[in-house]
Amino acid sequence: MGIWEQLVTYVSQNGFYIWTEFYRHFLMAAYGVLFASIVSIPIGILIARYGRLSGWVLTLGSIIQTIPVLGFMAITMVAMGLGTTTVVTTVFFYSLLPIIQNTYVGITGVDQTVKEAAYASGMTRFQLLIKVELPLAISVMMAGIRTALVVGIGVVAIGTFIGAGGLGSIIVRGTNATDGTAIILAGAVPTALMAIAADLIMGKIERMLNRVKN
Amino acid sequence: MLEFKEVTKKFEGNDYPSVHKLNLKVERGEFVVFIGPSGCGKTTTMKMINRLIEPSSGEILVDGVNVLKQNAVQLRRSIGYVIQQIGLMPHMTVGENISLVGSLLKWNKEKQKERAKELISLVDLPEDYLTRYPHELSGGQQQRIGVLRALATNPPLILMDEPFGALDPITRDSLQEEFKKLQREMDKTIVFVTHDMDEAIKLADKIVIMNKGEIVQVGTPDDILRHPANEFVEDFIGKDRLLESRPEVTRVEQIMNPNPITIEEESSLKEAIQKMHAKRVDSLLVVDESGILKGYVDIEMIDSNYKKKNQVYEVMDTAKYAVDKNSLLRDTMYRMLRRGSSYVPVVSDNNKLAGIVTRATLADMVYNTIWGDETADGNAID
Repeated sequence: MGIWEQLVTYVSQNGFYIWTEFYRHFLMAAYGVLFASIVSIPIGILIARYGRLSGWVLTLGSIIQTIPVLGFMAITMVAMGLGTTTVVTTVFFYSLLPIIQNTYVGITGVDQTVKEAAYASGMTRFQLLIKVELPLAISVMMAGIRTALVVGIGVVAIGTFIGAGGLGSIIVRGTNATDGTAIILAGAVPTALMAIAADLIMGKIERMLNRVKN
Repeated sequence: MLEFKEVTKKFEGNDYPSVHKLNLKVERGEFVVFIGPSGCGKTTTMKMINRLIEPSSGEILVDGVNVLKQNAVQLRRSIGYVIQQIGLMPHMTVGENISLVGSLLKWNKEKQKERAKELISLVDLPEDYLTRYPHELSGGQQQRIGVLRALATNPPLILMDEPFGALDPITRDSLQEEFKKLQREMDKTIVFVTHDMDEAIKLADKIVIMNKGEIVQVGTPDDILRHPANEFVEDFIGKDRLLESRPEVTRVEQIMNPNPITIEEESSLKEAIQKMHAKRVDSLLVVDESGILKGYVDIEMIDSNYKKKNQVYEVMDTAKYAVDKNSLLRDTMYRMLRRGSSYVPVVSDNNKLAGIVTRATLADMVYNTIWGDETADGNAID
């Protein structure tokens, strides 16, 4: 049997299992990014307003990004134990930088003269943020969330090593089996497809939210 | 309406104050222009009025109340503000931009829309522009909207920071005209900052010349042109000296040629060409039987339509660009030179043709200024 037939057989026999892992995989990535957004967007807004903090915060975010995912997960595991919580936490930390950075860039990138005009027309600081800065920065912020989600899907694939399941566990099963190439593909292809689909869909949302027509 | 008392502003890290002990009174309905070289403190002075910058010492009173004693946000909503870079909200429609301050004041939607419609008709833009976005408009149209935004809640006081500075000369010219008209009709007090003397002379009721944070001279445009306080002011108004030396010639009527060569719109092209030949000119002003200016026709138009058409009114250009006979000479002169037109028709009330000013007329004027008036009509001017 060639690899192709093997793959078809495996998928037809384990379709439901692959779907369950796919769904689980996606949820872990999405939750990590969601929590990261809740924390990062206010931080990004804050450092955009108080510029002095921005250097520190962005450096800290970059340092997290340089740590290999496996190493980071291992350390988190020591503190939080095995399972999905640890994976979601890891995705959370890796999502901080792109979201904070894009929020920061988006808000500082709003045309200074537009802000001056709005402010001089009698907007409060808060109105300036809600009515001018956020609407004009939203598409750049969405681009950050998009990057975070794609990176997160990759991070979750490694989560299988600490018992969180996900499509990564199908890949690992394939590497352990003799002639397991087809099984590896059954895990790897959906992972890649998920990342591509997430990128395309988020890109679409990003363009929809871009209210500055050019 | 507006009063500065010993106002000083010193920015941290600067050795000298940007504005030093400034005293000035502005009456209701006055159009005050602050002018001076960059860094003279004119913009700082203006921004202190709506507290974008706060004075280090001294008092600024708007309607008798110190601005520092008022809520800054409420204060800004009650004062119109226009900047050079326009600063329209790119994510809002033109209508929403006009109603910006109204929305901050929690006007209901109907009232906002009503007001936006009312305003856009003032600047002769079609109503459907209200639903467009600012980037779809030209620079001149955008700044018209910028001005309307400042007028939207009908504030008695409007601040303008070089509002027409970034526009091309022709657009700037028409916006200045429009705005001056609006101001007269609406009886607003305007504080206007510029570094363009022509603009100041054209618009101002009162010019405030500043240098190094202090007021050098305050006066009407005529005062300043005729009696500059010192050398600095003279340098600043340099360009206008030719006209200044003949202060009695101030209106277009005084220099225009009262007998322009005209043709009636019902005449044939053949008559037109004969008239051009007889009078040695290349274009004719077209009038109707009662002398109302209808347009003009030139040799090119006749040449390209001679076979096809017979009557003057069929080929004439109806773009009636004309000046009023009572308009100021210096405005007309600069406008003509800027537009590069070789002549401009002069009209009296009801668009009745009164005369024409050509480049030759201007040459005569400059000649007379330099050589004296003896050769022209015997009345020497000293």
